[in-house]
Amino acid sequence: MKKYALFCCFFVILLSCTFLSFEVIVNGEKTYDSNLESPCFKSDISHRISLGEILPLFIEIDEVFFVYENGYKFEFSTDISDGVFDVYLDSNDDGDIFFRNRKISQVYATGEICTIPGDFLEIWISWEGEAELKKIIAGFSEIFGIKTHVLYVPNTYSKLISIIRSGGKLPDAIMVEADYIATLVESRAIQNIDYVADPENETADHFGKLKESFTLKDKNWAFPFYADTHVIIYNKKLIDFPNEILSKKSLTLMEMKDMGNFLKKDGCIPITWNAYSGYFFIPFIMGFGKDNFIEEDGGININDGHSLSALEYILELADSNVLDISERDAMTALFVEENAASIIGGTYMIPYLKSLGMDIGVLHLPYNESSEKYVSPVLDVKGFSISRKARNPILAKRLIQYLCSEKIQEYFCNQLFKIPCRAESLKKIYGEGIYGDVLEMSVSNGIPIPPEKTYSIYKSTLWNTLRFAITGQMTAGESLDAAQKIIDNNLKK
Amino acid sequence: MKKSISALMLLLLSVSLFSQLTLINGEQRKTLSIETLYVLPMESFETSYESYLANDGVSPKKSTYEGVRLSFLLNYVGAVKDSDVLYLIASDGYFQAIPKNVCDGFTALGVPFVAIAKNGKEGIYFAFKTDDGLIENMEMHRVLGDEFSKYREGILSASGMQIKDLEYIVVNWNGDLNSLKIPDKKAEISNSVPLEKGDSKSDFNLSIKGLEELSINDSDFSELIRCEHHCKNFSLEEKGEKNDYSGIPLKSLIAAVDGGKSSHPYIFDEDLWKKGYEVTMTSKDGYSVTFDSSEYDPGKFYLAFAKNGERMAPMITGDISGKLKIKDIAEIELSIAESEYVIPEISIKLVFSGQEISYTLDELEKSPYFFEEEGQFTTSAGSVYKDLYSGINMASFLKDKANLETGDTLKIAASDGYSMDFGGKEILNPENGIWMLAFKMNGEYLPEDPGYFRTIKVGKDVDTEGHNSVKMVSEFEIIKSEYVDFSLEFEGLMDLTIDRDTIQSGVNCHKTTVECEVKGSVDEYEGIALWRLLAYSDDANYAPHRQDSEIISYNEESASRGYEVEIVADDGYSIKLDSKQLHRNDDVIVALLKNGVELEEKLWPMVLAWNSRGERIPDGIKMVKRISKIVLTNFK
Repeated sequence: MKKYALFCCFFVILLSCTFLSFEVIVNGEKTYDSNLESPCFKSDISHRISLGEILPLFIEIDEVFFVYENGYKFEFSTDISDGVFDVYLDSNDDGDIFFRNRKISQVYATGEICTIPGDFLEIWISWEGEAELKKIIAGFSEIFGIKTHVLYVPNTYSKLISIIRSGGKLPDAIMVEADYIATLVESRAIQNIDYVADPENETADHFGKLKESFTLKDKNWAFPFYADTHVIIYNKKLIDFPNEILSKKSLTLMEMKDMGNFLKKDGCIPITWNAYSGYFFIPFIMGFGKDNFIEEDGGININDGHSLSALEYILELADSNVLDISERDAMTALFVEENAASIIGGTYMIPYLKSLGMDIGVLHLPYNESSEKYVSPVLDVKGFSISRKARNPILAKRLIQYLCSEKIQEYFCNQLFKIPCRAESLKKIYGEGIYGDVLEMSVSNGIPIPPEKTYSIYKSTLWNTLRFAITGQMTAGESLDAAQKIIDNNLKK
Repeated sequence: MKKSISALMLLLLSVSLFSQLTLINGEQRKTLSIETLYVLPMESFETSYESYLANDGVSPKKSTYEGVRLSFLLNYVGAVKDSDVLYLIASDGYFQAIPKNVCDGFTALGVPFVAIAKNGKEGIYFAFKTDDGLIENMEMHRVLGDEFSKYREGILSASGMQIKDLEYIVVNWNGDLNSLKIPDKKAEISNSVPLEKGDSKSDFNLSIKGLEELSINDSDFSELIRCEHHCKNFSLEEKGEKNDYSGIPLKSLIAAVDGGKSSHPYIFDEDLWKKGYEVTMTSKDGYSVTFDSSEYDPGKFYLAFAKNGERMAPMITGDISGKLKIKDIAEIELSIAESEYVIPEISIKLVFSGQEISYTLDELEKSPYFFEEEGQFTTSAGSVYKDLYSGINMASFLKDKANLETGDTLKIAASDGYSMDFGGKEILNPENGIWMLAFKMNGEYLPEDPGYFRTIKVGKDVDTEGHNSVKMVSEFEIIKSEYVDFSLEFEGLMDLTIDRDTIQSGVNCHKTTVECEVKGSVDEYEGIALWRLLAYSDDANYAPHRQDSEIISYNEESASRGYEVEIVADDGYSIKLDSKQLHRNDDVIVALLKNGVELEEKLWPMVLAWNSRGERIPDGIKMVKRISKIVLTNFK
């Protein structure tokens, strides 16, 4: 009899180990066990599973803890409502789930769950990666049973303003860039997100610098999603840089000139970029010694020695035929047709160039030995804002947190050659090779596009005045002087 | 004021550490410390009571009280029935009984209060607040009758109704004082608190915007919560615990701005709430949420200011979803202002057979021609815009209202001066999509630009060329003459042919008029400057509007260097001009209209014309009628 009882006991334990090896209990009800299928385990985006994906979307989590197989409990001491997508679980082929290498048998969570019966979450997306983003959001929708409506909007800013003016229904989340922020804040289109726990202080390691593009008057207005930056893209068929250059991932300004003089002898355009644009001028201003692009009083001063030296250097390169100044499409055409050996271009161009079968390499923008500073690439950050009149701001926040989670960042940024918003993801995506190093250096030395309206004024002004210097209608000093006057007058308005 | 409150609080804490009041209604029991009572809505008043010596000429003595309405406190212990009797019991067992109806404050005794100070002396008292500040013996008797009136030496004595050291308020007490006590009284008190916690109260500022705008600052709010009519107690189950809140129903605040009544006392417009408008609530930390009022019960929202007796920064709470609970509420905005959601009262003019009829947007939306369908248009630079459009079926509408026929021409004019001609055949043919006069995109009314009306072709896999999707449409004109298509061919560094719509669109955007004298006759011609058309063929890469807007398709450098421009008529006649003389020369045009009307047959569809008084008349220029081709050669 005793033997029989022992056998029964063993059998029950075996059963529970086999069929109930992992279960999730939310507000007292079982929502998942190993015998059920959950979309998050089937995703072809990544096989990693975050805690957030096995729980429902909470407004706020009151309590969450794991029970390990030995019965010990691990309780999260702080409110991790805003960090559930940053807590990763591991699984093995048997379907066992581990947290920090310890097998979990149960996850318990309590709190109010966020639902939107009969409603949907509306998200406006823009720029590159429409298909990838739609796929990711569809996955989110499936995992959490939340209806989403994703709209690709070529210019989210103008559409948002137009809908505000017409009094229409606004989306919950909108993709934005720095240029939009000042006007969207002024028109009260988006909400300040200071209420969201700062992920830098929590479990995630974000590139804090990217937030500068969305920080206006000390308040945060959007979550950085990814960034593009400027790099030197070169055609390996036309340029074979020595290891010395490749190991330091950059040329000096002098080396760039020397390289150009050497290449032009072969009838090849050494380098081309859109020097008409103020966007491409910022890196050089900074590389020639300027400390802050936007002054403390909110203005921009380009009528100074640093800017003048920068412009004179560019003009000298152009005069000596090292630099061919072309607008975007033209410079791309020159590079693709192998008439130009290199370009200063946005990292977003890399997938396109690779798709053409080009064998390309990248370098960080040059180093200026005299100022001991790098020509600082502009960081063009794209992010997500939550509209002020969002009907589902918490769900929008949860979706954005999902999009900014390590796993999604690694999937999306890898597909589109973007700089992820998370520091730890950069090397995971690009490895220890030159791409990863160059992008890391670019973030470190880069200047995020500021959200102030001053930048827009600067950009449109320089678009006109740099042209005068480049075409010889004005000297470098005269064109900067004229630009400064226009900027100052506009800022006075 | 803040200082004096703080001082008073210190005094209260020191002298009456254990002063408390217990309310009991059946199983429900609530004990409140004197400190808790103090943070509840408070009123000051003066009352005097006649005593049994009134007939001896002894004048009643006035006392000043500060206290909370009894009816407000009863909310803590659930409903009290009209038939119930309340017993106000002092710590020594002395008591006063009053029927429930007296609590409501509509008898001659006035409003019953639980006071926390009498003539500046702290304690818990029971007192009445009356309009005239006096309670006469006979008034007491009339209201309370023999059963509950107070007597002394067999004479009515209203002053006996006053209770000092009030300890219990019990509904339907059985007279047993011991039954009211619980073993550890101190353990029950969970709400002895400071009046203000940190600075939570000091910078409160709430803006409520609707048809009116209401701004409530800290002192306004303090005044507001002193009035019992505005305040309610309610309990919420939160994280497994029951919490007691005091707050103002949100609807009583919204009442001040929803347009129901413009002066106090405001009346909440419940019908409007149920009909639905957007309510946007924003916290001081930026969190903002919008909801449709019709989806929620207005009675469930409160602006709470105390939790479990502790004063807190005002927040929106209630039996509502967590996403609608707003801490540190700063702004409430209702979308009922006239400036929002106003459907523009605009109309479109239909001109046909000498008649002019206007149709408002509202009429069109309610008409049988209204439908919704996905549509897209592609700009000349190649950008594609696909959206859900709502509007009217142009074919059915124009056929029914203006007898549009396949042989007619439909001129669509926009308020910005743009106009475009379409053949009736094109509009009436549904094979390649249905022409819609749209006024909504993705469910929202189009703003003035590109709306309020826009033409677009809708349907599955249907695309509209950007210039055919006319924005800001203001007029349809049916012309009873056939719309005949034509084209213009270019040969040069890029060979292509552009159609009538593209040419007309170009003329719309760059309209140029010249007065041209030929054989003594001076006529006005309208069209597009010839140099602009050269951009179609002056280089191998760029044509107007077919690439990024940053790139200018017209090759200035090439035109300045010089090439030959041959203008060819459909009969083969041609002339050659020098690009240097045409470069940015607005005096030479390819015209589509002569003296404001379509060209006569011998000139149609296009004619080369020039400003006879212009300063830059090219050498060898002659009128070329019925232009069909432009050839660019001999580039230098």
